[in-house]
Amino acid sequence: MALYSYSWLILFSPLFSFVVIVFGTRMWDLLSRKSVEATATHEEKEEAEEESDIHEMKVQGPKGEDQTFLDIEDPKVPRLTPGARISAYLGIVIMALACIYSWILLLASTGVIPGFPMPAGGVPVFSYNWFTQATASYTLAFRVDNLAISMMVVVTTVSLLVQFYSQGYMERSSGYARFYAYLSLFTFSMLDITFAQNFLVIFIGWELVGLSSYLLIGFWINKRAKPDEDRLSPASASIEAFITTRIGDVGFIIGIMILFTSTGTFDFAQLATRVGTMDKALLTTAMILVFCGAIGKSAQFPLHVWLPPAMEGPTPVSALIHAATMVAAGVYMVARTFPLFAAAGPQAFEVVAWVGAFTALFAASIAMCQRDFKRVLAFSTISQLGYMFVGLGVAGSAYGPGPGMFHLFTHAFFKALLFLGAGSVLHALHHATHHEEQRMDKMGGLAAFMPITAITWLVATLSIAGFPFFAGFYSKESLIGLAFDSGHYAIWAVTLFTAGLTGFYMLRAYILAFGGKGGAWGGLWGKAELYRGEGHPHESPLTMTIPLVLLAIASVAAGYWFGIYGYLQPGASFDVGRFFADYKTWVGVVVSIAGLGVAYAIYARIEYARIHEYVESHAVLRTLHRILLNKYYMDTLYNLLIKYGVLGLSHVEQAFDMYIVDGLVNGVAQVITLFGRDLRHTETGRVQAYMIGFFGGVAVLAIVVIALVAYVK
Amino acid sequence: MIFTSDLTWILFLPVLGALAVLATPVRIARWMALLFSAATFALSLAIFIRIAVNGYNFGSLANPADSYNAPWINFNAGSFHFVVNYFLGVDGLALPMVILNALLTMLAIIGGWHKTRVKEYMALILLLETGVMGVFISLDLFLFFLFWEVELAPMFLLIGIWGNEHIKHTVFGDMPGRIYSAWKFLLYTFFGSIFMLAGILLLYFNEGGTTASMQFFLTHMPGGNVSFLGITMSLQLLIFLLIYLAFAIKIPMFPFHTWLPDAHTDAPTEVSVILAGILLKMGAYGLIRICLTLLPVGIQQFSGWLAILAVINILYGAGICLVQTDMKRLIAYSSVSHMGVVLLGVAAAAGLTGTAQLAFRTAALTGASIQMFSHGIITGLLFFCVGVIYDHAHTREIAVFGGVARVMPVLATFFTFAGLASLGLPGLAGFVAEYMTFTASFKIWAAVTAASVFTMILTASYLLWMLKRVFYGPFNLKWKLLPDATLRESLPLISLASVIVLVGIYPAFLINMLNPSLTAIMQTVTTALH
Repeated sequence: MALYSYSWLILFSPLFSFVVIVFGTRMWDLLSRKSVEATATHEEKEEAEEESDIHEMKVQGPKGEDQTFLDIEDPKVPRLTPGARISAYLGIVIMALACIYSWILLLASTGVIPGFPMPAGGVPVFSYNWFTQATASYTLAFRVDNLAISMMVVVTTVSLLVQFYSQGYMERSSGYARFYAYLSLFTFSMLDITFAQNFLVIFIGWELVGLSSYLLIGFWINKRAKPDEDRLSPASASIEAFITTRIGDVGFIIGIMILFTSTGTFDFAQLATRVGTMDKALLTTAMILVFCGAIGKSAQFPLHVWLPPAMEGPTPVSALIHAATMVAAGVYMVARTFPLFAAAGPQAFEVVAWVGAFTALFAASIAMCQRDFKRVLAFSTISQLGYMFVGLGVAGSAYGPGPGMFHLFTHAFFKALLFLGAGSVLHALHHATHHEEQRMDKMGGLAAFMPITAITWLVATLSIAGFPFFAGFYSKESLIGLAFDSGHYAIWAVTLFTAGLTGFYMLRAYILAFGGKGGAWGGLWGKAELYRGEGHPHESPLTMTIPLVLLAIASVAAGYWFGIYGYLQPGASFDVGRFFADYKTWVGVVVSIAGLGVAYAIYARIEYARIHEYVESHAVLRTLHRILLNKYYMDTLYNLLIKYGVLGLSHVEQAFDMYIVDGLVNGVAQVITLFGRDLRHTETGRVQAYMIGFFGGVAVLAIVVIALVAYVK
Repeated sequence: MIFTSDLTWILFLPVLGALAVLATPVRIARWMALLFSAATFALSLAIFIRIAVNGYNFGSLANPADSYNAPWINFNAGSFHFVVNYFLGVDGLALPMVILNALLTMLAIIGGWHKTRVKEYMALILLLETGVMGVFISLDLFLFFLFWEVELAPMFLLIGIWGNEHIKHTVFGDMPGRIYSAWKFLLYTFFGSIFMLAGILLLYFNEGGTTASMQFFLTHMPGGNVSFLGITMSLQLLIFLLIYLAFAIKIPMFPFHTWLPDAHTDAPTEVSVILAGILLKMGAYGLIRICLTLLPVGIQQFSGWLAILAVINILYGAGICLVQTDMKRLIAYSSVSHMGVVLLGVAAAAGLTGTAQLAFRTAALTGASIQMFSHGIITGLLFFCVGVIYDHAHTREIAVFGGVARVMPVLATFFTFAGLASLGLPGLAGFVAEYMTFTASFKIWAAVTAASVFTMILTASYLLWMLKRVFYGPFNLKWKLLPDATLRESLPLISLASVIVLVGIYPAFLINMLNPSLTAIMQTVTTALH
């Protein structure tokens, strides 16, 4: 028990790092910066300046005047201060301790370390009360149970690896300490969701991860937008992320309000026992509204639009927040409230499954045509999150949240690996070309330069594609099969087809970046001549490649935790024998390999320029390509809606205030001042006019009032 | 002796301060102002600490934790009595407002350190503090009304003299904005006060005309119907409407809100802080202290409309923020939106009869009362931030900036923090208030509350969008020499930010303070309405 009840240490340790960095080491960093910079060599200074990548931009101002703006891509300092370095070490050490503790919890609760059985219903770790009166109670309460531990392990592990990796990726960034502070804040917020015992706490964490995401996407504060690459500025992307997820949160909180006012509690366990008495239709509505929160946070259709622009943040952030953990919060929340969904009408889970299935297909189709390296991964994340919702939606009470959470678990590792690998590539290209480069047109053959990144990326690609015996194979094929077994044949067909697309777009991205026609292994392993960009890239430093290797191991090993079904739901089990004997598993494998094969046949066997030419010369392909490249024009549609719908309404309100309300007030005032106009010829005429107007008005009102009082009396 | 009561000192220390400021030379005058405002703040905290260590019972209107009552005016002419008592008291509802007022005034003095004609400026701010303090601690309706009016004069002068020269309304010729807005503020408030006076008189004479003590009306509520201009309504509703009009203007409630954006854009920074931070709370405080507590039948009959007006305030105010071009005007309209949350909470508290859903109604009222406090500190911080950038750049126009965080990192941090607090980020004060109000009000006014929640999107949009256009994105080189906030300017920012975090992570100290008072109010309401 004590082992579990001390787990609040895990929860609050990143908050501790955040506070110490913000008020301590970051201040030290800022104060000592001048003196440390004075010790830097001339070369270091020059290099810092060059890598900061500062440009002047001439822009016409609103009144046609010339304005000059400074675009600063990634401000660097010549040499990091001790304060900055200690910030990073502190964050990493504390996260390592939290990570070890959470792995111990996992081993203890699974019984590998015997003698610490997890009590049914979990162990409360911390709580404090805001307000309680009779049937309404507001309490902050945290609890640890198996579901929480499975998520905690993911969060702390990926956080740790990302923080370690960032030492290399963020080298000499002028916001080095700030970056670590934000990462720690994020981890705390995410753990808050993990430990939540009620909707109040989960909502707090929910908004706080939104904050961390906002701060980290907008990390490079003075960077410009790149319209030619269809990229927003980090400042705009951060707002889009925050606001789009908040649209989902409105549904979330209305759902919470329905549950709270019907039962008087936010507590998950109490809700589970009390919702039985609720009106079924109302409960179903409430759960669908709660799911809206997950749609926003997990970037499901139609609120998926924020995730691709969110890639403007530093790549480690994309790996941690926008791939492995925060976007999976929606999945975790549905898993957490699984009993409530199960108690609601079947429509609730149908909505979850269908939104997931549609999004999986929708995003995968877009991912096939993207040119931006990180954007492919962004759409892939959206698609994979869709799979997790399918897993939750079709599982039913017999399986519980196991299938969805299993995919969350494996996905966290291979997707983090994909992003960190992408970061390694971008880091290398930044050094080689001295500017930011994310277009796959400018890559190719990189395996020759950075073999560790390439091989680990290939592992992750095969894992996500569901190639046999990699982690994704077990988690994905099992939930696709489950869709069929539970009678959701349409969803099964959609997810199966999407599995093929997944194989296609992932191997396409891999080959475009690392391989190419004429490379070794039939084009999978690139040669230096295949590189289409400038300069000479190098493999990234050890701080970056060590996490890649560790994650590559996890991208295979994570799939072998078959006990997760039973761990999360007593009585449920993942039947390995049946899984291998099931023909649907192998149908899935065939489809995935077909996707991989098509991508291989096109991109490894044909030169990149020729593929492009062919698509452009073919009317149908060209149109299709354009639609997919423009993401079905959803962004355009939303922009129009905001510009003419929302802002239009605001302008109408503004006009109403100005012309109707104030028009009336000013009109009355003018009439009153008319009475005083005769006095204007005197020196202080104006003031007297007002005074007369004022006291005249007061006198009239006073008479009205006295009459009123007298009358009523 | 009235001077044995600390409440008297809370009330008159600022007046003494104003006299001291006027009597001393400029160099000392500033420090005098700071000294007296700090003393008032310290005294308000001392009252809090004294009660907190003595069992944390802040009492209610019937049993205020600290009170003082002395006869003042007793005028008799036949059967006509006009009795006004010097009756002061603080309970859990009033004390947070008293502390807020003392805190913001002190910070306003620090913020306005380098004003022109600084002696008069400081003196007026201190007089304003007294007026507002009086409103929050008077337990006699006439005394309440007196202070309600006293506050007008210094505010009028502060806007009219130190305000903006910019000409905005051509309908009045070349009248500068400060004059227009000062008059608009005065006339609107005065218009409302007359109705409030009528309402108070009606209540006073109807219940015997021997005392105007609020405690007396707790047990002597007007009943029966009146017929007025052919419309029959309950007497309580009539009195409620008369008194509430004054509060509605002050809060401000749609459609009486247009004085606020004008007053804010033309007022100097520190005056805006006080205006939004405290003066608006006078209306909200009156709504709870007088309308809800003393006229529960009247407000209950109006509560449906109140809920609808609340959602209009919330959404209309937030929507209009999106198209503002001036930072101060934007924050002014955001106040309209945020004060709507208070209205919603009160509408929920008054929305049902008897003990039906009492727990949710109390929770909603608690949320509304926290919102009063948290809006005060958050909006105060926002206005201080705008003040800093305005003092340095001499413009508040959003469009002329861009990427300024590069040269003003400290201000950008605080401004972003304030914006996040205002949009209801958990861990900060605004979230506690809004979350409680919304979740509890939903029980009483489901559709209205569900509509109100959409403000979450709008609030985030206008605040973050403004912050982005000013502070983030490519840096406009025009501002490369813009200095960051100085240490003096940062002081109010740091203080308010700390209080915002404190309320956000440990709201219990505020909730427990409010609790006895609000429970007693709900008790009165349920007994009156059964």
